[in-house]
Parts: sequence; structure tokens; C-alpha cells
Amino acid sequence: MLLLDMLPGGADRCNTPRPGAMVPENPLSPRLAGASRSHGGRAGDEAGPTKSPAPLPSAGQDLTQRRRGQGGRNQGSQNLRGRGTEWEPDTEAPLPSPRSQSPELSDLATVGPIMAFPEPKPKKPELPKKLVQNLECKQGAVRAVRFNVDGNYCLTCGSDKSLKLWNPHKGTLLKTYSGHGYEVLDAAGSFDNSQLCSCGADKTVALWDVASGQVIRKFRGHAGKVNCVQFNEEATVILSGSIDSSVRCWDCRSRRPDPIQILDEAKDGVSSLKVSDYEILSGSVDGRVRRYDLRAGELYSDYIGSPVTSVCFSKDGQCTLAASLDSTLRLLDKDTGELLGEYTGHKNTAYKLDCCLSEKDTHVASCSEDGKVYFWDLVEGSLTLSLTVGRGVVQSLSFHPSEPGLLTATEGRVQFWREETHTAEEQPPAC
Amino acid sequence: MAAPEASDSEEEELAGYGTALEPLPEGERIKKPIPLQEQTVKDEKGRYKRFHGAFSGGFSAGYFNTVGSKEGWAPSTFVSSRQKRADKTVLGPEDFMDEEDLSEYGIAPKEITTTDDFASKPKDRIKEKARQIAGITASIPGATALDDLIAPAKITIGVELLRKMGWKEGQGVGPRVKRKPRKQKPDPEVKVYGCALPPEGSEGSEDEEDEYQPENVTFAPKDVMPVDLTPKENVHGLGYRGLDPTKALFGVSGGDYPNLFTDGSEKTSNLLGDLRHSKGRKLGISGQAFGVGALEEDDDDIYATETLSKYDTVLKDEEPGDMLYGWTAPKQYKNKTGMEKEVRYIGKILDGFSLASKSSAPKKTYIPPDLPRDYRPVHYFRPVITARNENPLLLQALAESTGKRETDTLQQNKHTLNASQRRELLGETALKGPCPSVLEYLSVKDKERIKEAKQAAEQQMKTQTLPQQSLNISSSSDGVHHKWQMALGGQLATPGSSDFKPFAKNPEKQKRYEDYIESLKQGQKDTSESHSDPGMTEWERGRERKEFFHAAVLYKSSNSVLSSRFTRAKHEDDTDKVEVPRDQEMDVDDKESAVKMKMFGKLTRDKFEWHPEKLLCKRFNVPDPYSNSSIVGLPKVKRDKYSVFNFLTLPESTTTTISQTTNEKIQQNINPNKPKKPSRWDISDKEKKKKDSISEFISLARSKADIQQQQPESVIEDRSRTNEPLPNKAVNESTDQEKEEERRPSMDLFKAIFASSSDEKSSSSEEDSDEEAHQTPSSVPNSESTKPANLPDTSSADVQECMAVTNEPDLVPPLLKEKLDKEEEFGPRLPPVFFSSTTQRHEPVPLASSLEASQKEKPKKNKEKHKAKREHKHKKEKVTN
Repeated sequence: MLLLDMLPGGADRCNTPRPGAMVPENPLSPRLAGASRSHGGRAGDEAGPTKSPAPLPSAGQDLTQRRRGQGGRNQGSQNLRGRGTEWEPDTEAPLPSPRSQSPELSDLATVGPIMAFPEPKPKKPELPKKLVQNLECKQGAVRAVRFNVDGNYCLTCGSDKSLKLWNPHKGTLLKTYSGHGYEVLDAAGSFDNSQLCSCGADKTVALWDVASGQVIRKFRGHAGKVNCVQFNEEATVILSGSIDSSVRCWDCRSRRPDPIQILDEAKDGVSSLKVSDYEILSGSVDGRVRRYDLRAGELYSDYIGSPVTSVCFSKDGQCTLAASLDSTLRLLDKDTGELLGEYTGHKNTAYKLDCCLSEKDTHVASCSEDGKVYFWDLVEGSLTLSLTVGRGVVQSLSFHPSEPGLLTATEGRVQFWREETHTAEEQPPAC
Repeated sequence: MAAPEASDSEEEELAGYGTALEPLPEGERIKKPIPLQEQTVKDEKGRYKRFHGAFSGGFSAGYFNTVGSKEGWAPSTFVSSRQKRADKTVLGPEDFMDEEDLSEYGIAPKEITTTDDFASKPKDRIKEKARQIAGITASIPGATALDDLIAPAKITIGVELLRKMGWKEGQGVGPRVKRKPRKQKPDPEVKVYGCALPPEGSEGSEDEEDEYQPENVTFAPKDVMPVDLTPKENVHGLGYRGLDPTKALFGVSGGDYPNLFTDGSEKTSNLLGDLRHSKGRKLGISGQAFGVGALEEDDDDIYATETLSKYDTVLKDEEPGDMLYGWTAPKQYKNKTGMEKEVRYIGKILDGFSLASKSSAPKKTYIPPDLPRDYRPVHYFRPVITARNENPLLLQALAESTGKRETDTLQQNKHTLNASQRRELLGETALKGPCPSVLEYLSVKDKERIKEAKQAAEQQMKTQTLPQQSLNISSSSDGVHHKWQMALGGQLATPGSSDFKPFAKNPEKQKRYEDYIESLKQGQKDTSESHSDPGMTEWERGRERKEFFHAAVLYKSSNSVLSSRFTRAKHEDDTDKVEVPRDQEMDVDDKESAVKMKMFGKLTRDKFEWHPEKLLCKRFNVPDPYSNSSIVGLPKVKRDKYSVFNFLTLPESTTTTISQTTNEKIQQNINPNKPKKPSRWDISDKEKKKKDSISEFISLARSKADIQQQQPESVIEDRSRTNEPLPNKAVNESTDQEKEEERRPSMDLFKAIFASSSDEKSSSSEEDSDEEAHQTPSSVPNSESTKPANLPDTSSADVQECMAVTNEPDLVPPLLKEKLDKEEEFGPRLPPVFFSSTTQRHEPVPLASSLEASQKEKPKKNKEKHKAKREHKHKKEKVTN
């Protein structure tokens, strides 16, 4: 099963150039020009009172639009990748084997020529507003909800020490993974969906086999509870950030019990962690966002000032988004550390809440302590939607990697939201 | 062998034996015999067999001559996992046997064989005949075949005849004799006539019965072992016995089975005196299958279990073995044991020797002494009396009880003896150099005079009934030191238990110190004298003594439990250097202001050289950016370990620090109720609102700052006075973190001390964003010397009080409260655990417990605090500019 799963993905990986190799080069040159322009614009802007970032100068807007265009194109390829590995959720097996590849291949064929033409006027991006599923997880408070790599499944981390795998489209529980000694705080799935990793307040990081539900390995070494966990791109390394102010890189390949490397530059607990193909992004309570660039061998530390609760990369890999406890989200340029946007209006002063970007980098979303999820336009910084989810704190959310779908976790349940125009036609008839 | 070529005449004369060989066909080469090394043996399935062992004729073992199996060492049934467990099987001896052993001629044949239980009966011929007839006429023909198998005819006609004449098994044949019945050696292996006798009673009673023998009783003659004249029919070595299958398995008594292999030769070996197996049942396989020669000792039976019955339990004479080798003794009547002894020799007397007519004199034996009645065969050692015992009374009592007053005399002796006398006592050789003692240079008369004077003085002292009898006339003259020693008593540092080594750098000195301590503990007073280096001068000695004494006082291990938890570092850090990251994230306050102005970018960014681990690069499919460096992480530099500037990594201007300190000082003065060390999260909304009132104090402080800038020392003193553990009313703030921070003196103190006042920077500075800025110094290093601050100014105490009050919304249901994590939380918390099924749908904020609420408040407070701080600075700058 594992082999079968890996096949389409592997072929796909061969077709699309490795993102690490291609993505930076392609958008880089216009990006740099835009950056310099934006800098000039910002310099003029500085004289004025620093209010809200809403009236961004045209240059900056241009920049972001450019970026968005590229992001869109880039997104197109990512979409492809998503399709390539997509499985029809038609069986109830924990991970159904992929169907024959013919539809995907035809997709490829149709999408391919489109990319040659000038892109049609982008459709107005839709935001997930419609509640399609409500999962009562029955595992205490849901500490985190995470889509898997292609968005067909999701993981919920419960405070009752269990980790559950769901099909959010149909609202079915597929498997429960129990083995943690304390509440599970974060989880992630590997690129081939064969493995999961999770971390929890029991100071351990666990590597799971998806199908059997057994713990393959447990990594012990953190001195405190582990807040966040991520696979690297090839699921050969697990990175985990803990309140012991370290990020540890665990090797999944060898049997060695200690981490490959400990990134202990943070002065306070590491609250959030993201991994790209050559970067590690960590947000720490000491108010800094640190980006470890493995390729350049450099560490960039951006000072935010307020304890950072969540960080994420934009889809095009050019920006970082950081949420901090001053109820502000900041979009920073990855290369220079400049502030591209600031998003306020929600409430996040106490809890570790998630933030994310929408599937096409058009919007920024964040949890809030007032039971809502807020959406801002990425470029304008204006609040576009506040989605009322529940009465408690919306603690975690996860955006579908390719479609306007959103998972929110509040209290003990997870809700799945889709766009208004969404119909169930994408669902397999078996549903 | 017949000779076919012999002439006719000879042929008629000679008798031919055997069959003649075929005449060789002509013209054909004579077949060469197959050489020995090419001869092969195959087993019953046609596979080649190997021989193992020269004598045994092959006994294959294991897998390809190894002890292992095809699967290796692991047994094939080995299963171990969480889900599957191996079935437990009870293995019998057969499971460990080879196939050959189970075959017909193996040691554990599976075929049905008859046993003596069934063979012992003489066959009734009539019955047999009747049975045969019945067998033929029976409805199931052949049903009696089993009976035939069970009862074979084994008893010869001679035995039958003897029985009819009154003979019983175990008796000799012949006329009855008048002598004591010779005990038949119960040898189960020697069963000439089939059935075994039941084992006879106790053997030890033989001699006693001898005396009470009635004269008119006759006994059957002793059974005579016939000389074994069995011809050697096999090709084994002399005396070789094959494996005895009847003894192979446990639970089978030896000798009761018909011997398949050892028909006659066994008897021979028994006759030769192989009595080893007669006593106690031997378990396991016996025999000489593995090439033990006839003259060699039999191998130890490794399968045998040790039983007590193998050993003699009573002292007695050698069991009267049958030494006659089958010959009947000429003397028939032996009544005395002496005679028996003689008889024993008969067969063995050599030529030219004769038996002694009188026996030699009996050996003299000595009776052991009578034990006293109250003797107990356990020895109790007397308790060792040492001066270590704290109670001198007990010591004395003990010493007196022994009647020797050892310690007393010892002590006195020690004081009266001089070094040379002691040396003589110890048997040491005299020093070659000039004698150090001045006394040696005195004349004998003078010495005696001195001695007398000394004794007189001693008498005087004793009459004064001083509790301390320890008069060091010879050595320690300083009485203070002495008293201290007494006072210290047993609480001195114990070098054995605590690993404290004050003189570790000088091992000799350390040794002397340990000796000193040891002897101190034992109550000797002039210890340092005896342990001191002879090469040292008197002055040095005295100095060292004092040093030791002080060390012992100082480093008295107050808590041995505590000290046992620590161990010496294996690697002493030889250098006073410490590794410090080369680059530090600098200037948080600059960044703070940059963040405030939303000037993200260069101002807020720090860029470091960072070395990823090689393996990490490999896993990420990224080339190692620093392929030829061995550094991992941030490059580090070595810096002086004890330099304060390692810890003061932030260049800060004096003005700001001092104004800050004064500011804080004033704040403290105003707010006596404020917890002395606010957590970094800790600032309330109200404080922000009351900013103005605080800023007033700031201006006040700034005016003071100028004065204190010139007198930094006074600042410190001030601070030390004001930094007092004030009553902590905000109970919920008292966390471990706080305590931890308490120990560390605040950065301001260091700044105040070490930062040069001349170097001023315009930029305002703070330490680490969250932490330091609002830490009021809780304690200075020597906080013991500080006095309580009595500066209660209640004018604005409400600021903190309000905060404390507002932070306690105690609305939590007790059940929920229990569930709350009691651990200290760092950073952003997780929302409380809710169950969607429950009806409590409170907002999380009021739901939180006091602890939680305060922690939740922290970040907000923190942020606002920062804001407040920043504004303070700005205002300050405005004023100064």
C-alpha cells in the first residue's frame, strides 16, 4: 500500500521541478525589483503616522499583486501536484489506494496548455463560509487540527492523549492513534501519507504508521512539552519545537535516539514551526521569528516584539506570516524582513492560536479568542470576513492546501467550512 | 583358508574351512580394494553420514557438525511480538534427541520391549499350550500374540530345579552353614538370575548382629559370584560397555531390563570392582559410548544429579567387597571380624610374606575436652573501643571494664613519649639528619630533671580536675586552637564521606589534611604534629595546622545527604574560558522602537552565520553550505569565564540605566504592596492608564539621576537598602520562575557597577525585551546585609493592588479548576479543556482560574508594559533634549 501510494507522488515529483530548485529562481528576479521599489515607497510612507497598513502605496500593491500572480501560477503547479497525489475518498480504509491515474493525467493535459496562455482574469477568490461538516471529536479539547498533504484527510489532536484521523469531507472517523502520555499538541502527516508525527505535553515526539496505528518511534529529549511538530519535505526528518526553547531535528532514517541537531537559539519556548524544502521557520515566545536557511547556512532572526504564537510561510515561499500575542498578524518579507502587511481586529492575547494563508495566498486567516475566524485581504489588509465558529476560543485552524476549505477547532469539535458555491458534486457518489 | 592351488594329494589330507573364493577371471585386473579414506557410509535414506569420534562409530550431532540447527541458534518456535506469543510447549527429553536415538538400537527405542516384570515368571507350559489352542480357536486369531510377547521363557531349567530344591534367589548354592549371614551386596546391576531382590534393610546393623548369633541357626551359604568366562564376541575395546538404553531416561531404574548390549561384559566389570553405580540410582545415560578406554576412568556423568545418597553418611569400614574373585575361601567359619580381615588378605598375600600373628597396638585416641555447660559455639567480638565515641564517659567505662584503660594509657603515653621513642615503638629507622628535638642535645641529667618537672606539672594538672585531660606539653601550645578542637568534636568535616578536597591541588597536603581530620575525629590533639611533613619548619607546620583547622571548620559538611548528591567533575575546566556565541541578538530596545514605528526590515533583523549539521543537510537534500567546517550551530568564541561582560552583553548607556534604576527605586518606594519582582508579563491595564502619574515620578527620578550618576556607589547602597522582600500580596504571582529570578541580581546592578559613567549613548537601552525591562532587582548578592525598607508610601499603591484584585476572577467551578494544569506555563497558553457535550459554554476568559487568569493577562500586560516603557523613554528624551 505504501508503495502504491508513493507511486503517483513520485512520478509527480519527477515531472514538476523540485520546488527548492525552481521556485526561488522564477519569482526571484521580479521580486527583488519589487522589493526595492517597495522600499522606496515605504520610505516615503514613514513620514506619515503609522496607522494601519490599509493604504499601502501603489508600489507595494503592485508588488503584492505581482507576487500574487506568481503565486497563482505557482499555485497552478502546486495544484497539479496536489492532483497528482490526490485520492478519491471513496473507501473507508484509513488510506485508500489511489485509483488509476487516467483522470489525473488528463487533468495534466488540460491544465498544461492553459499555462501557456495569458492567465484569465482570476476569479474572485471565495472564502469558506459554509459549514459542511461538524465533527464531534470526543477527545477532549481539540488542540490542533491539520489537513494532510493533499487535503483529503485531517488529523485532530485531542487533550485526551489521542490523535484521530478523519475524512472531513464525509465526516467519518478513520482511525484513532493512542500512545501519547499526555495531551497531543500538534501533528503532521508525511508527504506520502504513510506516516504521521505528533507531539504532546508528554515531552515526546511520536512517529506513527498510518495504516497499522502503531508507534514506529518515539523521540525523547525535549525538556518540556512539545508545542509543534513538522516533517521535512521528504519525511526523513521530524522537527519539533518545545517550550524548552529548542527546536530538535530528529532523524527518521537512522535509529539513533538523539536529534541530529538542536536549534537552541530561541530564548523562550518555541510555539510554532514550519518547514520548507530548505528552511526552518520557528516562532518563539521571546518575540522573534527565526528562519534557518540550510542552503545559505544562515539564521535570520526577525524581532516581532510580542510573543509569537504561530508562523507560516506563504504558498509562494516569499513571505512569512507571524501571529503574536498583541492581537496582530504580520506579513514579513522573507528575504529582507520588511513588513508587508499588518492584520488586526481579532483577539489573541493569551492563547496559542493558529494563523494561516488561504490556498492562493489571497487572504490571511487567524483564529481568535472570541470564537471567530477572521479573514483579511492579504494585500489590502482589510478585514473581509469574520466567521463565527463557536462561543469558545477557536484554537486551531487549517486551510485546505488547494481548495477554499477550512478546518476550525473549537472546544471539543472540528468544523469543516467550504465556499458558498461549493456543492457536493466533488464528493464521490458513494457518499 | 583353503588353498585352491594345492596339489591333489594335499587336498585330500587337508580339511577345508569356509567357502572358497571365486577364481579370478583371467585377463582381468585385480580389483583394488577401496582405500579407507574413500569408503563412505550412508544412512538409511541414502545420505552420506559422517563419523564423529573414532571409537563410537559415528554419532552425528547438530547441523553440519555444529551444535546449532538449520535456523541457527534460535529455536524454530521463537515467536515474539506484541500480538503473537509463542505457545508454551513442554519439552521432554526426546525432543533433544537425535533420530538415531529413538530407533531400535538407540538409547531410547520406541519399540515395545519386554520387561522383567513380565519375564520373571516361569512359563507354565500347560497354560501356554492352552493359550495357544485358544489363540487358534479364538474369534480373533492372533489375539494371544501379545501374551507371547509379554511372557517370554527366560528361566532355565536349572534355576527351576534349584527353586524346587528350596533355593531362593540371592543365596548361594550348597549346604547350609553355621555362620552369620553375609550381607549380599545389593547390586542391582548384577542380576545373574533375573529378578532383583528387594533392597535389604539397613546395612549398618551387620556387626551388631554378629554377637547375638544363635549357634543352632544355619544359613544359606554365600552367593558366589561366578567367574565370568564370557567370551569376547564383539569388536569393542576391552571393558567397553555400550550405552545402556535402560538407563537412558529418567525414572527407569537401572538393571531391571534385559540388557541388549551388555550381556556379559558388564558382569566382568563388576567383578573387577566397579562398584561405582551400586549405590544410589544414577540418572541419565551411562556407558562408555564415547571412547573411554578400559583402563581409563569413566567420564563424569554430566547428566547425573547430585544426591546425598551417593555419599557416605556414616563412618564405617569399607564395605566388605567381594575380593575373592570367585574362589571359595578355604575357611568356612569366620566368627570374628579379625578373622574376616584375615580372610580378606588371603587372596592377595604375596610370596615371601605372611600374615602378622598379632595385630598392632591400637592407636591412642584422645577424648575431646568437656565443654562447659554454658558454652555457646558462637564467638562474639568485643566492640572496638575507639576515641571516636563521643561520650567520654562511656569510653571510660568501656575502658575500665576491659580492665586495661587502654586509651588512657595510650594518651598518656603519647604525650610522654617523644618522637624517637615513638619511632622505636613503631619500628622505624632513625633519621639520618640531625635530630630535630632540642632535648636530644641535653645531657641525661637534664633530661631527667625535665622529666621530673614534667611529671610534677602533670600531677598538678590532674589534681585540678580539668575535664580535658589532654595536656599537650610536647606539642600544641595554642590553647584557643585546642578549645576549638574540643568544641568541634565530631562535627568536623569528614573527608571520607564528603568529597570536599580543599587542597586537591597539592595531593600531599591533602593527604595530610585528611589524616589530620581523621585523627581529629579520633580525639587526638596533637595530630598535625604527627602528620606534618618532616621537611617543614616549625613555623610552616604551625601555619599548616592552622590552615587545616580553619579548613575543617569552614568546610564542615553540614548536610552529608546534600553533599552526597554532588560529585566532582571528571574533567576539570582547566581554562577559565567559557564558550559564548560569537554573535548575539543585540539591541532589543532598538528593535522595540523599530517595531513600534513599524520599521521592520534591517532594524529588526539579525543575520547570523549558522552551520547546519551535515546530516541535516543531507536529509534536506541541500548541499552543506560550510562543507569544510566542523562547527554546528552558531559559531562560538571563547571568552574569559569570569568576565562580567560576558553576561553584560548589551552595551547600555549609564544615563538610562541609572535613571531606570532610580525610576524603579521610586516605584518601589511608592508601591510597597507591589511584589518585589513582577513577572515579565505582569502589568495591568490600569497601570497604563495611570501612566501620567508614573511619568511624574520619572521626572522626579531623572532629577535624582544626575546626582546619582556622580555617585554610583551610593546608588548601590540605596538599592541594597530598598530592595527588600516586601510582603507579597499578589499571591498568584508567586511562582517558581520568580524565585529563580530572585537569585539573580538584576542587570541594573551590574550596569551600575561596571558600566563606565563616561560612555554615554543617546539611544535608550533595555535588556531582553520581555524579561529585563521591568525586573526590579529583588536582591543584591549579599542580601543578608540589607535592612528592611520602611518607606511605605501609599499614595499610589493602588496601582498594583488594583491589578492584583482584578486579576482574580474566581469564577471557576471547582471541578474545572482541578483539571487545570498546575504546571507553570511558559508562553501562550492553550485554551482550557472544554467538552462540547457539556452545557458550560462560558467564555474562556471568565472561566479561567486565578492562576490562569493571571497568566492570560501576562502577555497583554507585557505588551502594554512595553508601550509604557517606550513612552517613558520618549518623554525622557524629550525632556533631556
